[in-house]
Amino acid sequence: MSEPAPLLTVDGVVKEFGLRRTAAERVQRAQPEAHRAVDDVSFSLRRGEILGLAGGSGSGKTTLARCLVRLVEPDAGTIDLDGADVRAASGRDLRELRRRMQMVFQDPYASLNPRMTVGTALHEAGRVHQRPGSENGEQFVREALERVHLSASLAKRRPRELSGGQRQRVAVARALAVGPEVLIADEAVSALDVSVQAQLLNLFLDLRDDLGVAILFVAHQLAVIAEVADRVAVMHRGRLVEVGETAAVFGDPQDDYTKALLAAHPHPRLARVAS
Amino acid sequence: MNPLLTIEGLRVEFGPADAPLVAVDGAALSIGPGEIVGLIGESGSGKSLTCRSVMRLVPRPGRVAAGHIEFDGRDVLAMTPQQLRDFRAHEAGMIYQDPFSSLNPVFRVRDQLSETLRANLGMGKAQARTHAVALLDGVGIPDPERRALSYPHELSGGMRQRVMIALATASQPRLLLADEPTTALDVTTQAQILSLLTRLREERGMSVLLVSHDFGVIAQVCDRVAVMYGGHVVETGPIGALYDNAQHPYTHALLDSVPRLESAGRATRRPGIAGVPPELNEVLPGCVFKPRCRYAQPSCESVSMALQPVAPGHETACPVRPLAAADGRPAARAGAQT
Repeated sequence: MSEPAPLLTVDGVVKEFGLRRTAAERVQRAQPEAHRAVDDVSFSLRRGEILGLAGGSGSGKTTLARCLVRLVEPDAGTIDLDGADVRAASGRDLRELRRRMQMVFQDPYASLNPRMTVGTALHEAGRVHQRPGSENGEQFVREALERVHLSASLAKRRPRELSGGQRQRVAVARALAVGPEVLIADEAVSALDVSVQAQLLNLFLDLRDDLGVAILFVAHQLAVIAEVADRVAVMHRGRLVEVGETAAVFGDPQDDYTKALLAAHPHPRLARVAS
Repeated sequence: MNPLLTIEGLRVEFGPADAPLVAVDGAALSIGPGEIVGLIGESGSGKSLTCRSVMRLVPRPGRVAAGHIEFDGRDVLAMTPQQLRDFRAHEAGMIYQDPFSSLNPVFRVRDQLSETLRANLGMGKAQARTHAVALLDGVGIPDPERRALSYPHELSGGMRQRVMIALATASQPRLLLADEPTTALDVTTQAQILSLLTRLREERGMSVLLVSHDFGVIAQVCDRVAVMYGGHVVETGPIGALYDNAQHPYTHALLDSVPRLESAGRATRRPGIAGVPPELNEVLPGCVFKPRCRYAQPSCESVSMALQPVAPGHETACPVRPLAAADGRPAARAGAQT
């Protein structure tokens, strides 16, 4: 397999959050040390690849994902999307970069406007970014829904009339409606039941294969990443501790934290915990 | 051996009595002394309501409309308020998914524990405080003297769940009802909580009803498991039998949907289960799983959902049993489809 040029290159990204001073620190007029949520993270995402981002809660996965589209402003480092400097962009350029890098969040109920029908929400995304075909609303919406294997009849419904799985598909459809090159899925299947989750995972694989979208797939469940990711990056306390081909990392982990995560993973086979 | 807890024909309803919405319909379950039984199902399957019914904690306007719950020979549904209070205080404990909302945020951990000990076990103030620290030590909280003085918000999720377990097991109950106790926790913390539950079972002979939607969690600690779908228990049996020889198409499909670490490096497409679970107001004739079942037959509309024996201790609600192999050997499970 020849090495395709990376689509998204992240180099040395840092995000610190200031902490409130404790009483003792206020008395001594000392500044608390900032919390490094993302600590010198570098990785690349290739075209048409699914990169899994694993890690425990509080490891900085979500902060990193948000830094990439600058929903959280990184403090240092460079983010390069196919030659464009994401950190330097502003105004129209930033909007265009965000069109090319779309996010899907864990809770579609919170990320869809409850008062908008599915069709309106999808069409709005297309209109805002002046997507080709968005002049014809009905057809644009139908195509967007078909892309995520939903029936066009759902266009008239509102989010609360949909099941959890359908809602998450709509959230994916809206991200895809603006023609992104990168999809950042932040725990996009974590809240779903396994039977629905399996179908969503298939959808992500279809998107990679049919549309060639690169996907950064953030998840805390290692098995979910194992099912879809080509490569996996493991995060711990803000740092990437291990990056590699999924089979290699899960088959022969090098880092102690990765080993601990894999060992703690609940195995559906009869692996009893020691008491 | 007589079971410690027996649930028979449990029916939980919401809404008007003349047109009820049935959330749990005819659920049956039994737990032996010292046994860990898993109750698994997807959202809305009625697993939490079944668990809460045992404590008579079905949230209003829900109500237990029919059925029988027997704890050690006593009828739980017929208990007077005083008996119920005793039952909750001494015989059964319950822990929930979110330990933070079950703990009082303005009291120190020690004070919450000693309040329980004084009320339920009649301990004095000093004795209760000492015992509270011992309880924290017993659930594996490091530096229990210092931690006892913490407020809930100062503890991590895993620590809070340990405190909840200490509270629920303070009076040495014989049954612990655990409703998704590890769902909000990290995998590493989850493993610790699960091994704590196993240890409590071994040290005290405590029975556990573990409600979860995660087959991995169930497999790690349970002896037996009951699978719920649409308010019915559709299959129950020893954990090994369910894995290797699932007889209900729902159990089978659910197991096939579970993502596996072994798929690493081979993109895996699992079939999942087409369609959506039934709504509460949908009354389906016959088998509730029929609309989504890949083996459905016309006769499925008239079958009963009663459990029928497959092997000793293994029962299924599917009378068609399309997964049973003709030669009596367990049918091979369809592998991951790549």
